[in-house]
Amino acid sequence: MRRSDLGEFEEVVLLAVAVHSPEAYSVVIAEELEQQTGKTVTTGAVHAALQRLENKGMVTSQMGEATSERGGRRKRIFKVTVAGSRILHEVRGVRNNLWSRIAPRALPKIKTT
Amino acid sequence: MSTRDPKPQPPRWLDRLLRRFCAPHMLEQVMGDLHERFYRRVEREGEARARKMYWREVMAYMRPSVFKRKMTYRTKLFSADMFTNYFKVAFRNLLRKKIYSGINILGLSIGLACSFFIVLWVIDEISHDRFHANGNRLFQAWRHFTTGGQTYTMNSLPKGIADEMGVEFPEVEATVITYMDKQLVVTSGDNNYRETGGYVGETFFKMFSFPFIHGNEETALQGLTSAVITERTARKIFGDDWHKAVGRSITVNHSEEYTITGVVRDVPENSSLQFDILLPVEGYFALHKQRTHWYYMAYNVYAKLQEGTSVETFNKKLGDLFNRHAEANDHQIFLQPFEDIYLYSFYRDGKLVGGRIEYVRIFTGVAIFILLIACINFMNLATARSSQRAREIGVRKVIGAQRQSLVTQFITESVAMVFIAFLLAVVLVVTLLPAFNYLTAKHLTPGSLNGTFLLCIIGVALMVGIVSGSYPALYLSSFKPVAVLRGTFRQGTGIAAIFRKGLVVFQFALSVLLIVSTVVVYLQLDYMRTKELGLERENLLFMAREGALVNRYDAVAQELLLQPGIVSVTASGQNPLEVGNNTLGVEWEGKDRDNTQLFYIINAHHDFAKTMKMELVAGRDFSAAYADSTAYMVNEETAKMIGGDVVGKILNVYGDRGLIVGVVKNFSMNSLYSPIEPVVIRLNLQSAGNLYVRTKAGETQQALEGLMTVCQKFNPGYPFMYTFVDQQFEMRYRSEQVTAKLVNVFAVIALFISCLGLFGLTSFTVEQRTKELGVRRVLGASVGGIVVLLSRDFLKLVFIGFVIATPVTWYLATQWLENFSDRIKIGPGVFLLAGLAAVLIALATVSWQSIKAAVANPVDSLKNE
Repeated sequence: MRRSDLGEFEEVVLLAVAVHSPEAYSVVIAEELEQQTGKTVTTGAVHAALQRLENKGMVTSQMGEATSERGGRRKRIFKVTVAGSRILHEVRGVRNNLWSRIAPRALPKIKTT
Repeated sequence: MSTRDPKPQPPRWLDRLLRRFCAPHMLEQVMGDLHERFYRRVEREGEARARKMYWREVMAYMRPSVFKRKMTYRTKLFSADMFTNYFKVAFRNLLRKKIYSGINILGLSIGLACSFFIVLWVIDEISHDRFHANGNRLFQAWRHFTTGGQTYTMNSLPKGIADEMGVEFPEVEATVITYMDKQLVVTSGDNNYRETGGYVGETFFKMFSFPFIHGNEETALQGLTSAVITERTARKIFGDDWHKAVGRSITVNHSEEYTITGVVRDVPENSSLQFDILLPVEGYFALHKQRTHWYYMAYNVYAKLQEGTSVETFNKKLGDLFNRHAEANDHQIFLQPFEDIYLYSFYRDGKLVGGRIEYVRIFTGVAIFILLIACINFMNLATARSSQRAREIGVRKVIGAQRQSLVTQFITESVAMVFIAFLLAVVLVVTLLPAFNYLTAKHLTPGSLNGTFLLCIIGVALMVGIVSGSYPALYLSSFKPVAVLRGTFRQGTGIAAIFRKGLVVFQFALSVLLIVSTVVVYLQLDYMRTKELGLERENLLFMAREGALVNRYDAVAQELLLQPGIVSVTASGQNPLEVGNNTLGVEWEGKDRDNTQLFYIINAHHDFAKTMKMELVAGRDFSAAYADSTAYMVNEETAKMIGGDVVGKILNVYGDRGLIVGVVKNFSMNSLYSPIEPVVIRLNLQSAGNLYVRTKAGETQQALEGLMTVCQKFNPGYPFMYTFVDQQFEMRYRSEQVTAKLVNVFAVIALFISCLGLFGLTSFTVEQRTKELGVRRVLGASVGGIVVLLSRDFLKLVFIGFVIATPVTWYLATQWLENFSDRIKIGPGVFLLAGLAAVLIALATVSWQSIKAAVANPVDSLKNE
C-alpha cells in the first residue's frame, strides 16, 4: 500500500477535519460522522484514523488550550495539510469524472430521501 | 470541574485500565476525548446509554498505536556518562558498606570458585576419549548374555567377532582386537622393567589416534614380533638414546623377543586405552592357538564404521553374529559409540543405565545449588538494605530517571560486583588447584584452563550477575519517589519481605539437603569399607606368578613360609573380591535340567581358605596333607543350590569330576553393588595366576622384605611388584570416595555461604532496629529477651527450610542407595542431626549480631536523633 493511499474511513475523517476546521478534534469528528452515517463511531476509531493520516502527512496537529469542559484536559486539534488537500481534490476529481460518465439508465433506480 | 454536583461519572475501572495501558504522552487527549464524549452522551441520551457506550469507546483505544511508548524515552539508556555514574555510585556504595560488600563478594567468589572447579572437572570428564581423529565412527562391541532369566552385559569377546564383523558387513571399515592391561616384564640387555600394555591387532593405530614420534603407523604392528612403545618407556629403557629405539630388540616376559618398530607419544590421561607397550596380537595367537576359539572370550573388540552408518540399524544386523558362528542362542552382540563408553557403561538387565555421567550430573547440580545460594545472598542483602538506597532512587526518579535506566543501573552494579568476585574466584581456583587435584586424583594444571573453560566460567559469571541483579533491580526501581522522599516509605513489609524470607528458607533447604546427602554417602561408604566381606582383606597381598613362581611354586611357597611375618601362602587365579570368571558348566547328580544358573569360578591352590581367612562352614581347606588331584570348595550359595550335606558329593566342572571337600561362608565375591552368587573354588594350580600372601598384622615390613628376598632369589629377572588387596579394593570404589569427599566439602561451603547471608541479614535488621532495641532496653528488656526476639524470626525460617528439605532429601538418598545391593537404612536420626546442625550454626550466626546489639549501651543508640 502506498503511503498516499487513502482508505474510505480515512477519507471521511479527513473531510470532517476540513468541515470543522479550525476546531477539528476527535470528539466533534466522531459525532459528525455518527450523524452523517447513523452508525456508532467511537473516538478511538477516529483517533486511530487521525494518527494514520498524520503519519501519511495529510493532517498536522497541535495541543489546544485547556478548557474546563473536559476536566481541564487539553485536546488535540487537527488541520488538513497541503498534501491532504491535494489528495482530497484528486479523489473528488476521480469520483466526479466517473459520476459524469455514468449513462442515465446504467444504475438501477432507487428511492432517494 | 468547578462544581461538586453528583454529576454522573464514567466507570472508574475502565479509566484505570486505560491509564495502565495508554502511553503516557497520549493519556491526556485520550482521556479528555472520552470524558467529553461521555458527558455529551449523558446529556443527549441519558447516563445508562452513555455508560454502555463508554465501554465500547475505551475498547476502541485498545490498539498498539495507543499502547506504544514514545521511543525518545529509551534513547538515553546506554549513554556513557550514565554508565560512568552508575559505576561511580556502585563503587562508593561498595566502600561505604564494607561488611555488606565483603559478605557479598566473599559469598559470590566462593560460590563461583566452587562452580569453576566443577566446570573444570566436568569438562575434563566429558573430554575423555574425545581426541581420536574419527572418534564419531569408533565403536566398541559388547554382548548381552541371557541366562537364568538374567541378562549380563560384558565387553569380553572372542577373536572371531572381530574377524567376522570385518568380513561380513560392508558398513565396517575396520575392526581391531585388543588384549590389554597386562603386566609385562620387558628386558633390554641386563635391565628388566615392568610395563603395562598388551596385544592388539595390526589396525590399532589406523583406528585410534596415538601420534608416532618414530616409525610408521601403517606398518608398525605388522608381523609377529614388532613392538610399539611410548616415549616414556623409550626414555626409561634407552635413556638419552631413546631416539634410536626403533630397530632395537627387547625380550618380553623372558621368553619372546620383539623388535621395536615405533615410538608413540605418551598416552594422554584422558584416554581409556592406556598402555606403555603394544605387541602384535597375531604373535600372541601364534603362541596360544587354542585361545582363538569362539568360547575363549577374553578380548575387547572395536570397530570403525563407514561414514554415515546408523549404528541403531547396524546393531539389528549384528545381533546374532555370535549365535550364528558358535551355535548358541543366548548372546546378542551390539556396538556402543566409543566416545560414550567412559561416561555410560553401566548395564543392568541388558539396558544402559548410566555410568560416570551420574557423577557429572550430581556435581553440576551441586554447582547450581551453590551458585543459587550465593545469588540469594546477594538478592536478600540488596533488598534488605533497600531503604538506604531509597533516597537515591527517589532523587533519580524525580530528576527524570525512567524505570529502565534504574534497572540498568542496578544490574550494572551487580554485574560489577560479580566481576570483582569473578576475579577473586579465578585467583582461588588457581591457588587451590593442587588441593582439588589431590581430592579428585586428577592432574589438572592452570594450563587446563583453556578456552572452553574460560568461556564457560565467563558465561556462568554473567548469568550470576544478571540473575542476582534482576530481582533487586526490579524491586528497587519500583519505589514511588513521593513516598520515598516524603519519608513515609516503609520497607520490610509486603511481598518483598515474604519473598526474602522465602529465599532464606530455600537457601537453608538446599544446605540441609547437601548436609544430609553428605552424611548418607559417608555412612554408606563407611559401611562398605568396614563391612564383613567374608574374608579378611587387610594384611593380604598378591603378585603375579611369573618365572620360577610358575614352575617351582611349591619350592617358593616352602621358602616363603619360613620368612618372618608371612603366615600363609596360596595361589589363586581370581581376586576373591572380584571374581569375573563364570560358567554354566557346573554339574552334579540331581541338578535340575532347567537350571541355567551362572557359577563363578575361582582357580586356587592349597591353603586358600586359610590365606584368605575365609570361614569354613563344613569340610576342610585345600591342603598339601591330602592327595587331592581334583577337588572343589563351594560357597554357601552353591551349597544351598545343590542341597543337603554337600561335602563328599561329586561335582563336575568343565568335565573335571572331583569331590567337594569344603564349604566356605558367603563372601562378597563380585561387587558391593550386586548380590552374592554361587561360587565354586577349584583346585587348579595351573590356572591360579597370582600368588597370595597373608602377612602377620604389624609385621608387614618384615614380610615384604622376606618376600622380596625370596622373589629375587628365584626370579632375578623380574622387578619386584606386589599389590595389597585392601588398597585395590579401595581403588575400585574410588569414584564413590571422591564423590563423598567432594560433596562433603561442597556441603560445608553451601552452609557457610548461607550463614554469610544470614549474618548479613541479621546485621541489617539490627541496624534498622537500633532505636527500638534501645527503647526496649531502657524500658527493662533483658539481654536474653532481645536475643530471642531477634533470633526467633530467622530460626523459624531455617526450621521451615529443614522441613521442606527432609522429604526431598529422603527421596534422593533412597534413590542413590538403590544402587547398592547391601545398603544402610536411613533413619530419622540423620535428618535430625543435620537439622540440628543447621539450626545451631544458624543460631550461632544470628546471635553474634543480636548479642552485640543487645548488650550495647542504649544511650549510644538513643542519644542522637
